[in-house]
Amino acid sequence: MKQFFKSRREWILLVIVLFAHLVLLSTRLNSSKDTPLIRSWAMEVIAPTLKRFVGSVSYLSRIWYGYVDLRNVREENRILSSQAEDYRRMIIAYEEKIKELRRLEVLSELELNLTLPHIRARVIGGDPTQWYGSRILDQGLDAGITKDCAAIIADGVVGRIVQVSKKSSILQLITDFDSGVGVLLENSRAQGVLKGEGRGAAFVEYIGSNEKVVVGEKVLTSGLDQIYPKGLLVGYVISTSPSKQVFQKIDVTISANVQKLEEVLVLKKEAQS
Amino acid sequence: MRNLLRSSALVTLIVLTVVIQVLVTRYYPRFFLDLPLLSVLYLTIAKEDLLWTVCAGTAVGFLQDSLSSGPLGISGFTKILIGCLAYMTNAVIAVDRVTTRWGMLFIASLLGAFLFLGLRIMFLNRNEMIDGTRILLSGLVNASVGLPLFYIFDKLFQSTNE
Repeated sequence: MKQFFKSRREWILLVIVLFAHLVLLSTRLNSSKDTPLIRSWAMEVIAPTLKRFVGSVSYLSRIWYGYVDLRNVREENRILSSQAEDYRRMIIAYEEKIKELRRLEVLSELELNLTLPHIRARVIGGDPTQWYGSRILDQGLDAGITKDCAAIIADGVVGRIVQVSKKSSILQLITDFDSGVGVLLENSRAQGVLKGEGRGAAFVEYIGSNEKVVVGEKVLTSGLDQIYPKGLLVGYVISTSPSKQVFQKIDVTISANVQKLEEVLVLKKEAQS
Repeated sequence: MRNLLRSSALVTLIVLTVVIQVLVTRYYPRFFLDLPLLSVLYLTIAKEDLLWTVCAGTAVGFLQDSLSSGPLGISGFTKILIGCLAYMTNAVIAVDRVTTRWGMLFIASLLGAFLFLGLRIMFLNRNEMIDGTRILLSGLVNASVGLPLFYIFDKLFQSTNE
């Protein structure tokens, strides 16, 4: 008998354990409100391990996928950066086009309202010395431009042609020291000569000290110089310096931004005369 | 052959400086740098030949005056005179050192501006105001930009010579 139990010890243990399980199961079926202590212990022991294991797996998985993703992202980033650069360039080009179109639109409006024959010219160069206010235009004799043709933009008079070749011409700005424009004041109708002071400023001289000049008054071309047609806007009076001398000096701000010229309308000479 | 190549390169440089000056002032009218003057000064120092200075000054001046609204000759006169002064200075004190070069460029720029404006006032009877700040600023810019530019030209023309 003793020998029988000894030789089948494992089997007996198995049966006992299974039986104990069944007993345990049967006793806990009806009272499932609380977690059994043994289960609780088991959970306390296993759960952290599981937690750590799963956390590690997730962590490793994240690293792996992160690495894989990073490889793709790097390539994707390169492509996107290149695309962004292309788009940025395109936007700048479009913005430039829009600005050009707006300028041309304004110039076209002026052309429509202008009864005098004219030529549209583009500024292709600035002054090679630092001391003159001149611009090089892309139109010359071939287009009908001659010396002393007036040049205007929508904002007003900008200058006159002083040198001309077959394909190009040189525009002297009204702010140049050598420039002189016959002008009259809008309200008082007093006539004088507008002289350039460089740097976008000018002044009117030969207007009598007894003439009443109002700040903000329009300065228009008088047409007496035989270069600029009468009535074109030149600028506005910004200050006057009355003196006891015969003439007063009137400072004028030029209405056209002559420092940023891009396209101009050159009025044909024969038409003006 | 080498000399011809080098001379052609120098002539191209003269024309290029005027073209660049015109293009830059089209977008930035208040460009203080006088590239044509710098090219004449460089030629004066590099060639050490008065004939080159006179020819370069004439060519640069003629090109500048042709493309501006001013009378022909005024820029040429200025460039030749300043070039000659630089030539004489170079003969007395070799302007190889950075400080002497900077000083020479600065003084040449100031003298060039005063000479140009003086000629305009004397010959063209202009009563224009001399903008001292602008002339001074122009001198500083010309001298400061001229130094690295001369260095680049030196490297460029040495390699052409080789």
